[in-house]
Amino acid sequence: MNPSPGTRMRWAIAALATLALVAACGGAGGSTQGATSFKGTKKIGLSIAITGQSQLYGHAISQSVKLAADEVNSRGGVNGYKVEADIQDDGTLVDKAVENTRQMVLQDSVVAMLGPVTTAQCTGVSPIVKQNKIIEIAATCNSYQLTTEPDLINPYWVSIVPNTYMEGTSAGTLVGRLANVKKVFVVSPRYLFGVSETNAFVASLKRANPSAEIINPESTWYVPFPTNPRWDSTIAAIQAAKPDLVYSNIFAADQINFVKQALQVDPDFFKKYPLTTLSSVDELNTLGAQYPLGMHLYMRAPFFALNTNNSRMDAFIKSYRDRYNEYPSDWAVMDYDAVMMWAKAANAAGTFDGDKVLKQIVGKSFSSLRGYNFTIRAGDQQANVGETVGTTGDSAGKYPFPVLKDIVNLKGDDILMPTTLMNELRSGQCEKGGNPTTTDFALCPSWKG
Amino acid sequence: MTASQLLLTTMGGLTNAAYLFIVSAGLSLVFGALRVINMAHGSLYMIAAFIAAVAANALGAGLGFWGGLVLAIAVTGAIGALIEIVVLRRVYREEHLVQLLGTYALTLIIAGLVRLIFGPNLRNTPAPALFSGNFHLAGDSYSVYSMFMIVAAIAIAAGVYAMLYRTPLGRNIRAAVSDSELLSASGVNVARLFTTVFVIGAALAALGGVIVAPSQAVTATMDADVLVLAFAISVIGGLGSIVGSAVGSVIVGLVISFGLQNGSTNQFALAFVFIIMVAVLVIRPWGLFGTAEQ
Amino acid sequence: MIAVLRLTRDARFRWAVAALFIAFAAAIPPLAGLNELANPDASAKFEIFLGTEALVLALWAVSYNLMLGYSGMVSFAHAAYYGIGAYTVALLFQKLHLPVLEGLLVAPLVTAVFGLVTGMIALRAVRLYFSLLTLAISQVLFSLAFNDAGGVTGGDNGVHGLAVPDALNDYTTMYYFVGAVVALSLAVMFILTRSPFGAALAAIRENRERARSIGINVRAYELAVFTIASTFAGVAGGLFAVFQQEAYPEMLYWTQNAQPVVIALLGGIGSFLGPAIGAFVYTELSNLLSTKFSNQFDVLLGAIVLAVVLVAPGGLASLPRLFTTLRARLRDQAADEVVESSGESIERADLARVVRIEAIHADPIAERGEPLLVVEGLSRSFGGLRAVQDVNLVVHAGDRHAVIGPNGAGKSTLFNLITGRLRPDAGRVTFAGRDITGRPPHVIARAGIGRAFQITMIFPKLTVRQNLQYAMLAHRGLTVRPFGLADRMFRDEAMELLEAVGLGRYPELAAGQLSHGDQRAIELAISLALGSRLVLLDEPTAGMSAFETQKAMDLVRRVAQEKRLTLLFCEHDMEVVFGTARTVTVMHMGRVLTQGTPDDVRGNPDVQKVYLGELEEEAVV
Repeated sequence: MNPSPGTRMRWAIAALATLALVAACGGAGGSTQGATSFKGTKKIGLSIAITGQSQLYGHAISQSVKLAADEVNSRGGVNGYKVEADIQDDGTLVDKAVENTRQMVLQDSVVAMLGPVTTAQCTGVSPIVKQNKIIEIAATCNSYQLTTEPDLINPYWVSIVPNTYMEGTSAGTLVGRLANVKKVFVVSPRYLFGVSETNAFVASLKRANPSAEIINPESTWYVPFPTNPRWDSTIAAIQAAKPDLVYSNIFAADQINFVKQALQVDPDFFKKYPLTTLSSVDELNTLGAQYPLGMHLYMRAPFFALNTNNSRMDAFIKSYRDRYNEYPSDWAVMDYDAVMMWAKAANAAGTFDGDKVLKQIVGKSFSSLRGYNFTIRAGDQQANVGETVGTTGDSAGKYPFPVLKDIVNLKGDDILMPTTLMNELRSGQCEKGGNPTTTDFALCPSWKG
Repeated sequence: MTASQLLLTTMGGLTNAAYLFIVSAGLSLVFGALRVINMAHGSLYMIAAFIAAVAANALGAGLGFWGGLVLAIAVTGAIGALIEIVVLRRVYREEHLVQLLGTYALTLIIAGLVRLIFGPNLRNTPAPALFSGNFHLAGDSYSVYSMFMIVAAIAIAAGVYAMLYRTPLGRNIRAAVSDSELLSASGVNVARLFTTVFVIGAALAALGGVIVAPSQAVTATMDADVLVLAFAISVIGGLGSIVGSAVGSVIVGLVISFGLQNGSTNQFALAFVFIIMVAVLVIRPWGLFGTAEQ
Repeated sequence: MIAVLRLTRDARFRWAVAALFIAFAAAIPPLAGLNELANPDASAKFEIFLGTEALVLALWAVSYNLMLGYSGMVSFAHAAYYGIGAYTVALLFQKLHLPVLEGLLVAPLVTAVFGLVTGMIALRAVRLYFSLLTLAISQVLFSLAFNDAGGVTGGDNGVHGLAVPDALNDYTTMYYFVGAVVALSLAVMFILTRSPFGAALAAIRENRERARSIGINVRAYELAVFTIASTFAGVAGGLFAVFQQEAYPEMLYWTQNAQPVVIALLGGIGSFLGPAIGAFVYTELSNLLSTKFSNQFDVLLGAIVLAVVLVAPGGLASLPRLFTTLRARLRDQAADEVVESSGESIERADLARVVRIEAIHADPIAERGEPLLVVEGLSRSFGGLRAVQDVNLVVHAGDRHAVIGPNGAGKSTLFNLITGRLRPDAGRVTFAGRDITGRPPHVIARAGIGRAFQITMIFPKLTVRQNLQYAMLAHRGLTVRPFGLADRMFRDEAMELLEAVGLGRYPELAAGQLSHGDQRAIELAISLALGSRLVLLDEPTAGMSAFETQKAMDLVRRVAQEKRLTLLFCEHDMEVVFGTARTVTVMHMGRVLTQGTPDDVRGNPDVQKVYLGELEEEAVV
């Protein structure tokens, strides 16, 4: 190496980089003090998107899981042990979620896992927890294939989020009942979640209103991944097609971009082409007053629709806001439920053994923040949790974003996948279809017949 | 396809093109003069978008937009100068892998810092009243803000072109594109010229971030959203050619827009962009408007 | 202390590090077990699992480095082949119920085909454009996998839940199985890099143009190494599918290439085992960062990569040297690596000895004075500039033929047209009765035309000896051999030639460290080492002192005479021209002005005018 004036600079940079490193590490330091009254500490694992496409949801989820763990501990922990949330970033990537899960299961000896955000990640981590007999509670990823497809069946997988069957058919039934809706335009992301939910929507819409038609061809329902931040093409296609209603299950930044750009094209865009879409407090909160009123939303757990005569929810909102100065999103509510359910079951089992705790989960009822009790049924181990539908309206200054009006809190039992259908799917009696190919309940004998 | 559909799809494609051009113009300029692929270009764009979002929410849509513009150019310009002097200057003579890795490392650092500073929440930026609203054409609605983006893209293209071909600085930059050693021999301070070009590139990224912010959710991942398409555009048009970038943006914008409309191509609309990129690189590696490198 | 540092540059030190690393890798499962006993928080299973992951990454990164470190190619498609390897195993299992271990045998074949086909497209471009082309190709491949093209890839979810043989269900067994496959693959690649084939790659990396002119078909070698690298990426991907039991489209995304690149960089792209060691460091480091500093992971990884790029671009493998430099700086000494030669080598040349060297073949048919090189109506323009116009030229076997002319007369362009570096617009070049018009440089070189360039064209980071050795290997077509030790071949011949031309003192120095004059001597030696029938010398003595020039030209003349080589050279120094040439061609503004014996030319008034004109211009300037 030739000594040059540049070399001295290099060392300066190295020193600077080291400093930055140390500073960043220092920021993360700080050990947790174990309370003396506990027998020890047990970890529950959460591989979640702190970075990457789903960081918005991962942020809310990790906050809520920490809160829930603290509450559990304040009530004496689980089986005499302190519960600690072991949260690791997966960058919204499959490989990272898989690696995190392995690490938490093998090295951190977690006693339970909470599911990551995307269906692809959940599909990836499922075999690992199955192999290690660790319960994984899915509170975000919700494709029904995760719990019904023969290849994916995992006795340690529990879902407490309304799955794509429940959401999709709710939306389809809702739209099917709307008067004067004949022509529907579909926008969905091209991955399993979108395909699964869209298929459910279309199948139930056809059943609820046989005269309704989807006016864009199936091959154009899905937008390619990675999604382009510009939605001009979709907006142009909607304007050209002039549908009575647009159905979408795009979310997070995609939904914000689509809505913003459509409103810029026409402030009355969603009056002309009303939108029925999956949404959450996060999307409402991001757009705030700009979120169009009169939108038909279906939501998994909006706190503002579930807190009537629900003091537990009120207390949760308060402690969440006190601690984070944010409103709890749907994801926060569901993961809180996940921690509480596991804590109750593990306490009831008196052990952390996966099989024994599972016995205290399947077939048992738990009280949800959402203001009702839910039961984990045998078979797909899906909770009969509800879905909230309604139309966006002004919150009259109560919140910095619109809320739902004409709220209907659909009951879990009403939207849960029928047992016959579930069994047909789980025993592989249904064809695969669509593009991308998935197991489609609409191709099962009992649905067709 | 009906005439109305054709017009809607074309305008949609052009808006997309304007967005892509605004965001990638600086990438191409920097490559042309410095022969460095700046992976951190998207990061600078993202920083600017966050500044725009914060400014608009603090100062209101109108004042926030212009104030944000000034602030964003100042901040990213300063960061750009820092990057050029501290990192790039040390790697010009290295293989391009070293440059790619150096700027890749910067994307990681900046993405993380943006997330730590601004938080993971999406940000909504109101558009200034001046560019709000819509207008009608052949019975369909069009966005004024989209038109503003198209006009801004044309203005940026014209501005960069004029800078390159009508100013002494531009003459030096063009000379640097063809042979920086010769330029150095003629007494021009090439190191300073390179810093200037990089700062201009950063300022273009800032302009992009501020202009794009009101039409999108501002997120800590928007750097990556645009990077690979920006590469495609720069390559198709010809690395280092501003006219090429403009044409490349239009091609990519229209391919995506029309590709998505059609059922048989929808699925592979993005793949088409890369197939075109392959074709251009195989047939004419220096791109449609670039100059062949020796 | 100094002795220790010296040792670090010793080959034996490298072998020791390699042995230590291999022993460490082999001992990971028992070490992990011991660690678990000593430390109840540790999990042997997980450590072994991480080790398995590191092994696969090591193979992936070393296969990447075959392109990066050995051939100087930066590919964005390597992750795609890794992904395709995993998909091959996964899909064969899922669709055809083929056991994963059998799938593992198929994976490299599939990725080899993908590598070959896409490589043929990607290698239409070079350097940065090659990189961008691989980026586009990888995005197309990702799109196919993600969008469930053909309804087989499983879309965004990929393929999960592969079953492995019961024997491999144990973490330790899996580790040793993966380790064995990785070790075997690394061994094959190691042999390859030290073989004549590897020598050709090194030559290409160091100087493409020079590599061509010593007879290496650059694109074919690049395609070969690209395909070989994708083959081993396929093995790595296949192993991934076996030990992770899944494959998903994300694996193909272009950003995934950051992993092998960062690993290779961390370990050192200049060494074979560096990336493998880097894989273990990276795996541990990234696990540590992501568990302890989950929220700052990207910032920290970025800071580390940036620090390596700026401070130690040679990675871990360069640490000993970096340490030496640092120590020297602290003591305010110049680092002791910077050794330059005196530049007087050529003065020590032993002409009689050069002449005796058998590696420089005598041309058996040269004496007949038949036309050896015939140039007819050769033209080439650049834009509007007609650099060479309708040039006719005959070089007779055994002749020493000079081409002279003022600056810009078209001499270098003519040479470039003859050697295939440029394609003519019109005209014909025949060499030994064979039409070589527009043929690629390596073909022309192999046909028997050697070349020394006007600007020094050597392999700067190879040793002086290797410069000659590899030229000898390449010119004899031996670099296709993927086995054997390139450094042991033609060693004596190269040393003999080096000593004869006065470079015998520096055989193990990097050629780029030598002084300008000595580099010119290497340049000359390379062109002689090729044993070509016709040697083209483009201003062979440019930048040499008067004494060196004389000595060099004596050498050239003697060799040409004794070995009956034919010389075609261009030169500014008229003394050199008239002292060496037997025939002189004068060019002016792209055309042949006149041709004849030195005396004819000297007396030609047109020639005088041309040179006088140039002199006047120079006076004006």
